[in-house]
Amino acid sequence: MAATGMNFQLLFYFACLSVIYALYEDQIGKFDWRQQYIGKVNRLYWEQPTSGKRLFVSTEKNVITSLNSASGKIVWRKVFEEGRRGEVDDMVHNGDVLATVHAGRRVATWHPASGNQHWEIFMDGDDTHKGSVRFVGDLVVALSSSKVYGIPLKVAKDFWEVELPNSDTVNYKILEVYDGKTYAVGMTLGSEVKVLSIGQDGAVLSTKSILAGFLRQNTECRVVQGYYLMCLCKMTDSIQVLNLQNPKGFVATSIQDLGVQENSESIYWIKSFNSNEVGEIIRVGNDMIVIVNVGTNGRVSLMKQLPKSVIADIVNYEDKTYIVSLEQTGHEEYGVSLYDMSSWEQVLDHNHRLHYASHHGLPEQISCFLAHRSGKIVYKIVVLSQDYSLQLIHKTGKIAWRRDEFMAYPTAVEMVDLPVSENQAKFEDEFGSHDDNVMTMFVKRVKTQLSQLQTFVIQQIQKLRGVKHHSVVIEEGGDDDDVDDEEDLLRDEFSLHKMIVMATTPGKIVGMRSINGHIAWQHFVPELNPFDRFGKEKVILHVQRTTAHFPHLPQCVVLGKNKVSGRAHVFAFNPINGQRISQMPVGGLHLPYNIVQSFLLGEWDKDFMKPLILVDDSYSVHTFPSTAQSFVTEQSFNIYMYVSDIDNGMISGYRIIKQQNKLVADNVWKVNIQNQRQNLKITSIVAKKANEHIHSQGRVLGDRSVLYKYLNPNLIAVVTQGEEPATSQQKAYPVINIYLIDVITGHIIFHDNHRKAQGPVHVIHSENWVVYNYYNTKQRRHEMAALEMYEGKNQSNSTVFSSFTAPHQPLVMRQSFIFPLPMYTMTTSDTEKGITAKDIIVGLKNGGIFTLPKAFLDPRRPLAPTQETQEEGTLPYIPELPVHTEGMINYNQTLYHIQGIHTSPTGLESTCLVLSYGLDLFHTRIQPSKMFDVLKEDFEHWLIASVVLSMLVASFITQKLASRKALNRQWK
Amino acid sequence: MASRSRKFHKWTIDFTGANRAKGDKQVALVSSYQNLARPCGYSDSVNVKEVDRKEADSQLIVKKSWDVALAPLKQIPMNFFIMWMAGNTISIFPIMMVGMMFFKPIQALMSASNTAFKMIEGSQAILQKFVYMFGNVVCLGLAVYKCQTMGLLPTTPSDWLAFVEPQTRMEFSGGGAML
Amino acid sequence: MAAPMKLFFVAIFTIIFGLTASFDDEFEGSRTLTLEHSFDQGQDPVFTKRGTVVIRSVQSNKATFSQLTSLSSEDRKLLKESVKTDGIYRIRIPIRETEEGTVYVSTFTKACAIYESGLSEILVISVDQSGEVLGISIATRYCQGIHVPSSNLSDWNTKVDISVTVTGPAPDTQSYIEKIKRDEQEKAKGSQADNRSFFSKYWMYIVPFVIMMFIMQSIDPQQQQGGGSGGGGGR
Repeated sequence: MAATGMNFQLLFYFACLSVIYALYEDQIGKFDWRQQYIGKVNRLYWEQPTSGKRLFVSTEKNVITSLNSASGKIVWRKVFEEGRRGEVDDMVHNGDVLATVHAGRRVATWHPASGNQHWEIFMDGDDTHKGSVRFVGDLVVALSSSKVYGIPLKVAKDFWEVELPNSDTVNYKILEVYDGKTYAVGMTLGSEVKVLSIGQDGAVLSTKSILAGFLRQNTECRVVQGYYLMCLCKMTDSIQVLNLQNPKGFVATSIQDLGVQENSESIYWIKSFNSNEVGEIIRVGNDMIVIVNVGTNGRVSLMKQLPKSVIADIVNYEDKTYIVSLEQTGHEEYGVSLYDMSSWEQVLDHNHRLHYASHHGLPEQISCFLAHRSGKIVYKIVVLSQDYSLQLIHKTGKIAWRRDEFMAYPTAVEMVDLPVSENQAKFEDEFGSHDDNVMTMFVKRVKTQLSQLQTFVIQQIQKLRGVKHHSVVIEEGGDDDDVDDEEDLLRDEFSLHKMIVMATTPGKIVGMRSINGHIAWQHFVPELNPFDRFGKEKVILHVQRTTAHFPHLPQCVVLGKNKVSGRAHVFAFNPINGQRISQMPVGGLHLPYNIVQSFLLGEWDKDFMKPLILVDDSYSVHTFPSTAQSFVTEQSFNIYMYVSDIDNGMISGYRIIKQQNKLVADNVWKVNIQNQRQNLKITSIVAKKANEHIHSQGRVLGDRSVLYKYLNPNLIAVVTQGEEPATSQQKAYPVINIYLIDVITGHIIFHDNHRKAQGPVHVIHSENWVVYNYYNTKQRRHEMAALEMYEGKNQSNSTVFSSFTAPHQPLVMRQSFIFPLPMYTMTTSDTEKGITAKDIIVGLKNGGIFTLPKAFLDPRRPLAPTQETQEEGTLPYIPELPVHTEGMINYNQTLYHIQGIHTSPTGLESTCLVLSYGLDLFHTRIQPSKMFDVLKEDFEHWLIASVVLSMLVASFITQKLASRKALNRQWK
Repeated sequence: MASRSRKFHKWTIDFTGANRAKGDKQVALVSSYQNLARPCGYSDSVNVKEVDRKEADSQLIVKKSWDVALAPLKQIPMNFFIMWMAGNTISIFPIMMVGMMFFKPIQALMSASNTAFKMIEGSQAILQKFVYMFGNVVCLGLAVYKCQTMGLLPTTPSDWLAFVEPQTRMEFSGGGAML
Repeated sequence: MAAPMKLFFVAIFTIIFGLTASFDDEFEGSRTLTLEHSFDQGQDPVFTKRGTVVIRSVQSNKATFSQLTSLSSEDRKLLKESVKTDGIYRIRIPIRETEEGTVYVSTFTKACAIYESGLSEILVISVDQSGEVLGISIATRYCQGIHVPSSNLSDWNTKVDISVTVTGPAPDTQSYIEKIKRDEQEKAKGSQADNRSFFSKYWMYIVPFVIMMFIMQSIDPQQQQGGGSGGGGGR
C-alpha cells in the first residue's frame, strides 16, 4: 500500500511536470519580445580619442553601458544591484579605461571595448556619501566620505590613501584634477570651504580653509576651467569663484554685473556631460543661455549671450573650441548652430534643421562630437530630453536613433483591447437594436454588407498593387523599418493583440502594441508626478471605458500629483490612438485640491463610463468626469471607501453620504492594526483585481460534495512589518502580520502572524485565496504561504454577496512552503472567464520569470495521500516548491530589476498575456492549462479533411455498386 | 382438421401450414377423403388423445410464456456478475457494458408489444406481461444503480456546481494607502 | 466514505485550534472594554455608552457583554427612524489614549438589521496575541422589512466572540521527513514480507478464474441440450 502511495505521488509529480508550458526552439521570439533599457543618462563619454563610434554611459538605474553611436544599440551593459548599493556615483573615461565609483565606496575599472572588469576595491567611508573619481597620470583617484585614494590603473595594488581632515563634519563633495594635482573640496554649510591639494605620490601639498558664509543646501558648486570652484548663490543672486590652485578667498560677481539684458533673478547650471577649460554655460532666468568665463582675478565675465538657444554645449576639437547650440526655429523644429569660439562665426555652411517632437519635452543636456569629413566639420549630437529619451542628431540634422529611456520607469500599466473595425461594429449594432422594423433592418444589413464588400475589394486591390496605407508619418530618419507598424489598430480574432498603456515617472504616457512592443503613440505630461505609496512611485491609471461600447470612444485616465503644487493632476485620453479627450488641456487638468484617495467605481453610468472618484483632504467627494456626480449620488448608498494611515497602522472606512448638496465621505469604521511595542508599519495593501471573473463557486471534494468558496469582493489583504523588541530572554526579532479585512464593515476575517520573518512581503490576492512570500530569518530561507477561504459545505446566499450578512468566520485553510529562490515580485495569471487554472508568475532576482501552477500552493495538499484526496486531485504535500527550468517563460532572456508583472486576459480562455516591466520590458503569452481551445499548429487539417471526403465518396460509390449488384441478383 | 376445399386430391401435403394452429408449422400429411376405409391399426381413440394434447399444449403455452416473462429476471444475477466484473473505473469497456445494460431492457420494453407479448399467451398473460415488464424495469434499475456507483449520475451538488451563478456584489469599495 | 471526511474535518480543526493553543506568551488576563453606540447619521456622530464587554479569556474565547441600561424610548425612536431612512447603527470601543485624544476602533451595521433581529447580535472583537484590540464588527441577520414590536426592543441580547491572531503556517518539514522515513521502512518491510506462497498472493485472481471456468463448463452442456431439445421438437 505504501509503495503504491509512493508511485501515485511520483505519478502526480510527473503529471504536473507535463502541465508546465515550454517553448520549442523555433518558437523563440514568436510570441514574446524583450526590450532592454538603460535608464536616464548621468554621464556620457564618446569613444576616444577620435573615432566616436561608441558612447560610454552611466545611468540613474545603476547601469554602465556602451552604445553603438550609429544605431543606438547596446554593445554591452552592466546592471548593478537595485538601490543605493548599486548606484553609479561617478564615471570617467580616458580612452583606455573606464573608472566608476559605486555607492560611495566601491571603485572599479572596466575595459571599454568589452565591458570586462579590471579590478575593484573598497574604500573606507560612508555609503550615503556620493563618491567621485578622476584620472591623474596613471592613477585613478577616488573620493570617499573620509579618504582620497590613489590607485594605479594596471593593478589595484600599492595604492595610497589620504585621510581627509574633519570628515565627520565637512562634506567632501568635489574631486578635481588639474595639472597633476588632485584637489578635494569639502564644504560646511554656512561657514567654510576646505581645499586639499594632493600630489601624485599621495603627499598632501596644502590644506586650506576659506570662509564661505553663503553656502546653503541649494547652493550648487562646480569646478570650471579646470581649477576655479564656481558656486551659484541663489540667495544673493551672485556667482562666487574660488581659485583652487591658490585659494585665498571667494570673489563674488553679481548677475547684474554680467550685463545680461533680461532682468531675471535666478540662475541655473546647464548640466554638462564633460568639463572643459574655456568657459561655462549657465542659464539665466528661464530662457536665456549665456556663456561666461572666469578671469585671472577671479571675476566672472560674460563671453556670449545666446538668446535663441534652448541648450548649448562647449566642444574642444583640434585645438579649437566650439559652441554647439540648439535653437528653436518653429513648431517641433530646431536648428543646429556651431560657433567657433574665437571668432563667434557660424561654422556650418547651411542651416541644419531637425524635427524634434514636442512630446519629448525640452532638451535638458547635450553632448557633441566633432570630426572632419572631406574638409568639412561634421557633428554628432546626443540630446537628453526632459522625458529621459536619448537621441542622436546626425551631420545632416537628422535624428539617427532614439532611445526611449522613459520606458525603464513605468509606474502603472494597463492593457486595453483594440476596437473592432467600424464595419464589425456596425454589424454588431444591427443586432444590438431591437426597435427597428424589418424593412430598416434589411436596409441596414444590405448597407453593411455592401460596405464590407467595398473594403474587401479595396484591400485586394491594394494587396495587388503592394501599397500599404500610411497612417501618421513622422519623419524619423528611417527609424521605423517595420511595416507592421502601419497596420490598422484593429482587434484580431482572439484579441491577442492589445494596446499596452503605460504611465512613467517623467510624466510620459505611452501606448504600445503588445504584439511587437512598438510605440503606437506617446504623450508627455511634464507636470504629472507620481504618488509615493509604500516608498514606491505610483500613479493611478484606470480604464474608464473599454472599446466594447461603440460608438462611445474608449477612455483612460491617469491621476498623479502636480509637480509644483502637489495637488491632484489628471489626464484623460483615448488609449487606442492617444488623443486626449475633448476639453482636456495638453498638459493635463490641474485640480484645485489635494487628494487623499481615489478609486474607480465598479459600475458604469448610462454612457458606459466608470466614474473616477476622488476624495480630497477635507473628505469631500469629487468625480472625474465631473458630469458623473449625479450618477455617483444615485449610487452612493452602496459605495464605500477605505484609507489607511501606513505609519500609525490605522485603517478607516468611509461611506458616501449627501450633505448640503455635496457628497462627503463619512467615517463608519476604524481598525487599529498597530501594536506599539512592535512598531508595526503597513507595508502593503492588496485588493482583488476589479474585473476578475471566477467561474467555479466551489471546490469539488473527493466524496463529490462541494466546499463553497468565500468570495468576498471587498476583501483586502494588509501586511504589517515590525520588530519585537529584545527582552532578557531573547534577542529582538522581526515579525510579519497578515490581516484580511472586509472593507465595507471593517470586519477582520482572519489575521495571522509570523515571528522571525521579514519582508519584503509580496502578496497575491485573487478569488478566495491569498499567497504571500516572506523571508524566514530563523531558517534563512524564503517561504511562501497560502491561505484559502471557504464558506463551508453550504453557501450562505447563492445569489448576492453582501458584507453585512456574509458568514463572519469563514473556514481559512493555510499551509506554507519553501520557495528556494529570492524574488522581485509576483502575480497571478488572469483569463477571460476564469475557467483556466491559475498560475503564479514570479519575477525572480536571477532574472527569470517563473510560472508555478497554483495547485502547488494549495493548503489542502495532504501529507499522506488517500483515495479521496487523489479523487480530488490534490498533490501530496512536499515542503519545497519545485523550480523547473521549463517554468521559466523568458527562457534565457534575463530581465533586470523587475518592478512588476502585469497580466491581462485575451479572447482565448486558455491564454493570458504577461508583461514584465522594470529596467527591461518583456512580453509573452502563457497557457496555464495548455492550449485547450485552439487546435495545435501541427494539426493536419488537410489529412482529416481528405479522409472525411474520401470516406464520403467511397460510401457513395459503394452504395451505387451495391444497389447495382442487388439488381443484377434479382435478374438472375 | 382436414381441408374440405381441395376435394380433387386424394391426399395433399400442406407445406404452408396455413390451416394449423400458430406455432405448429409442420409438414403434415392430410387425407382428403374422410370416407376412406380406415387403415390398419387405426382406432378412434386417437381422437380422444388429440383432446389431451390440446390441454397439454395450453399448459405448455403457459409454461413457455412464463419462461419468456421470467427471462429478464433471470438475467439479474448475470447482470450482477457483469457489474462486478466491470468495476467502477470509467473506461471504454465498463462504459460499453453499462451501455449494454441500459440498452437491452430499454429495447426489450420498447419492442415488447411486437416480440415478447406476442409470445405470451394463455390465461395468465396479463400477469406474465407484468412480470416481464417488471423484470426489465429491475434490469434498468440495476443499470442506473451501476451508473450511480460509477458516479455517472448528477446526484451530488458538485454536479451542478458549473451552473451556479456567481454572487452579485451588493457593495462597491475602493481605496488604499493615503496618497 | 464518511469516516475519511470526518477525519478531514478533525484535521482542519486541529490545525486551526491546535495552533492557536500553542502560544507561549499568550495574553491571559481579563480585560474590560467600554462599548459605545450611536444612532446618528451625520458626519460627526455623538456616541453614548451602551455597556461593557469583559474578556475573560482570549484563548478559550470567553467574553461577556453586560448592558448599562436597556434601550431608552428616545433611542428606540431614533432606531425606528433610521430604519425608515435605511440608516446605520454605529458602535465603537476606546482602546488607548494619546495626546491627540482617544483612539477608537469602530464599526457599523444597517439599522434595520439590528431592529429586525430584536437587538440580538454577535459582536466579533479581534485581538492580537498580546491582547491589544484590533477591531470590532457586528454580525446580524438579513433585513427583510418585518415589523418588530417595541417590547422586543428594550434589552440587548449580545453574544461576544473573540477572534485572536493565529500563528501563520510554517513549512511542515518535520512530518514530511518522518513520513518519508516511515515509507522507506514500510517499503523495506514490504520487500522482506513478500515471500508468501504464490497462491496466497494471487488468490484473488485465481479464484474468480476457477469459478468462471466452472460456470462456463456448466453452461455449455446445457446449451447443447437446449439445442438438442429444439431439434427434437420438430419431430
